[in-house]
Amino acid sequence: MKISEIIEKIKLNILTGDYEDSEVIFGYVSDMLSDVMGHAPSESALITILAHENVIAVAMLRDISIIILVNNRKPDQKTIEKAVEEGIIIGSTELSAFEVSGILYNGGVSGKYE
Amino acid sequence: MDKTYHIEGGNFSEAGFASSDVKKLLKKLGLPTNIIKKAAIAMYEAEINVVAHAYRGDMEFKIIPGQILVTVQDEGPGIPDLELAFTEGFSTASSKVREMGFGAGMGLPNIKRNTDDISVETEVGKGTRLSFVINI
Repeated sequence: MKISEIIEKIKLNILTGDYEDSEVIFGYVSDMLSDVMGHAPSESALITILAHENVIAVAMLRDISIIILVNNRKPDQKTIEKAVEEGIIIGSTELSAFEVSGILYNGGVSGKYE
Repeated sequence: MDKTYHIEGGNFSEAGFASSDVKKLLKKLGLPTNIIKKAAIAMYEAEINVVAHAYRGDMEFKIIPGQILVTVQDEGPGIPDLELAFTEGFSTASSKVREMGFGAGMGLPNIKRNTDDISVETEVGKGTRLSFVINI
């Protein structure tokens, strides 16, 4: 799925400004950072409720391209700035992790356990 | 080439600085992606271990021909049962640390999985010295 398509389908509010409309191939859902660190595929979309700045460090180290915050979670300004600095997109949606995963999966985004 | 990073216990906002810095450096050196990934994961987990459990520590990173060597020496509570600490799912992290998404009991197991050699020396009440090697 293209990022623009994800934005439209899950009503994602992008918080990091301009983005490159790249293709998202894999997705990963987790609220445990060590789990993300250990198993999230590269270039994936991370679906999570964790909105603090450590998520950006993990996303950067794992080459995660977009962080989808569910249940309307919002990061603080420092976290947003760090994401912009690292070139990681963050968006927030009112949908739950389950709903977002279903929509992305139906759209062709797949899971891969590394 | 070698570099040393100071890590302050409890300072989660700086956690990940050393591993991010090393990742950028390894990318610049043109190392293979899978090696960079392994080093980044192992170093991040080691940093988090110091931030979440110890008072302070130093992480020394070194590249020699064919190998990446990392040593993390901390002042902290030490590890009373090493075998348990290496068991996936076992964690002594505080509830505050868990709320942030840490403390899954995957730190040392993640380090072990991503390195070619690992050793831990620990003394309860004093601190821990973790060393690992990644073959390039």
